Amino acid sequence: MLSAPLPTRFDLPPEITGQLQNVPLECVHWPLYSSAAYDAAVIPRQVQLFNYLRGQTVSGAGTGATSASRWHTNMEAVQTIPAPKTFLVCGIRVMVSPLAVTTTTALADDTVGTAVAALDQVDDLLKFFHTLCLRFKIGDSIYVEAPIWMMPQNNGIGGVASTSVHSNAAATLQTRVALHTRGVAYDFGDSPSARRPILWNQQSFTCELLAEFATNPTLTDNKLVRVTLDGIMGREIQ
Amino acid sequence: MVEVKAVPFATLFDDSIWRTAIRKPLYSSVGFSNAAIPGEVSFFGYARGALVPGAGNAAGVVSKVAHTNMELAGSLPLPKKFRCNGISVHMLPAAFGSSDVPSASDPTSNTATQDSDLIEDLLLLTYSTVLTVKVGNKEYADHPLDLFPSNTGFAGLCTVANDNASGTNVGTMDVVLPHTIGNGISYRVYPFLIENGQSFSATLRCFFASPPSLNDARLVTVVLHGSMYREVQ
Repeated sequence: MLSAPLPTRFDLPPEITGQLQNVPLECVHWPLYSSAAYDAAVIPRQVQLFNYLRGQTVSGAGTGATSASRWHTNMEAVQTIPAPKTFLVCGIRVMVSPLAVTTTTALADDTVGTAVAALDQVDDLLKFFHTLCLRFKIGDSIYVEAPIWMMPQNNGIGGVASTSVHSNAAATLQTRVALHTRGVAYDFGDSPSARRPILWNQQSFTCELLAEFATNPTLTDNKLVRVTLDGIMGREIQ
Repeated sequence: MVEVKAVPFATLFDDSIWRTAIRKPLYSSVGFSNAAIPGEVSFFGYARGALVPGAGNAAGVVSKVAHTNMELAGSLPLPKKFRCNGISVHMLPAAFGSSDVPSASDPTSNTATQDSDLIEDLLLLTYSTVLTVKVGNKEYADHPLDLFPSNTGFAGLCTVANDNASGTNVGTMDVVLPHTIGNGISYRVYPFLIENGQSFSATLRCFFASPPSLNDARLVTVVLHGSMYREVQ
């Protein structure tokens, strides 16, 4: 145990530290995440997340029935937090994988360097962010209902790159991209008076991705979309 | 770890040892070969002077300062303690033959077959694996690797060279310097402690039955950021 009180950016409500239920909990930054698989097809109107566990089928139509691993989700119970854990939701971010995802991962622009060069990754990311909205509910209360472009990933690959041109007529232009979204985070605590949502143990919550246009866009590759609830997990001290 | 008495430059703890704390990241590297990403590789399980683990070190290279600063395999020597407030993972922008020979990562530039080995490998590694960090039996991270960006690398601008003196190589490039950036999982508000003698580990895992393959041999380093408490001398 550390002797000095740990510095905190904010006062934790008693239910997240376990004081309220008289179970002392330790706090750790432990984002909850869940993924949805999308086929290279029309974006479906609704996909649920956080509704499966590791070993169960990943949500969505992508690649048929994919068994979930740690890479897809870290949920321990379907749409809830097992007792005595609690979870303070600090923010939401949405990641669209820059790779094509089937039963494994692969580069998203395999036509690069050939006579037909496409920009699958850019195309698909644009389609997702022009189309999808996210709804997050705890119990019956809606906490988030907004387009996903308001929930940037703020994680990815940056650096320096340039393109090359070659005289080989069959491979005139080479590109490799590594896209991610960035911007003002969807932060539940960015207002002094705002209260961060709390997932009590065994409180149900739902999260779904919506695409409610009359004609939704068609994806170029099979893709994985991951929603991350960024926050503080209160877990039992052992 | 209970502080008993503090003076400006040191603190007396309840085990009667005066310690000072300095910023000192703990880091450990593993060599990857230009083959399928392995199902599991472990970091911090060797001390400097031992062989760099991983298939990328088929030649059996002994680890140096560039690879790790661990003094013991898998734990801290008495009386040191470490308070961790962050984790980052680095794939250096170079190919690493035998985990010991850094070289340019895109040697096919300026040839008929040009590619982008570096950014391809960084994409495949970052978005295909999960990092687990444990102290004892307790996990403090068990999340996809993109949540642990390195936030260290190159930035700037590049141009494309047009070599009009060469009939076969009209445009060339050898600059692709990506790195992972962003807001990762932070332990600054709730840091975790690694006591001396307490085992700890970091494990990188790829759960796919048919994992993607890297183009080049790589050196991947996991860094635990934080404060090292060491005895006053």
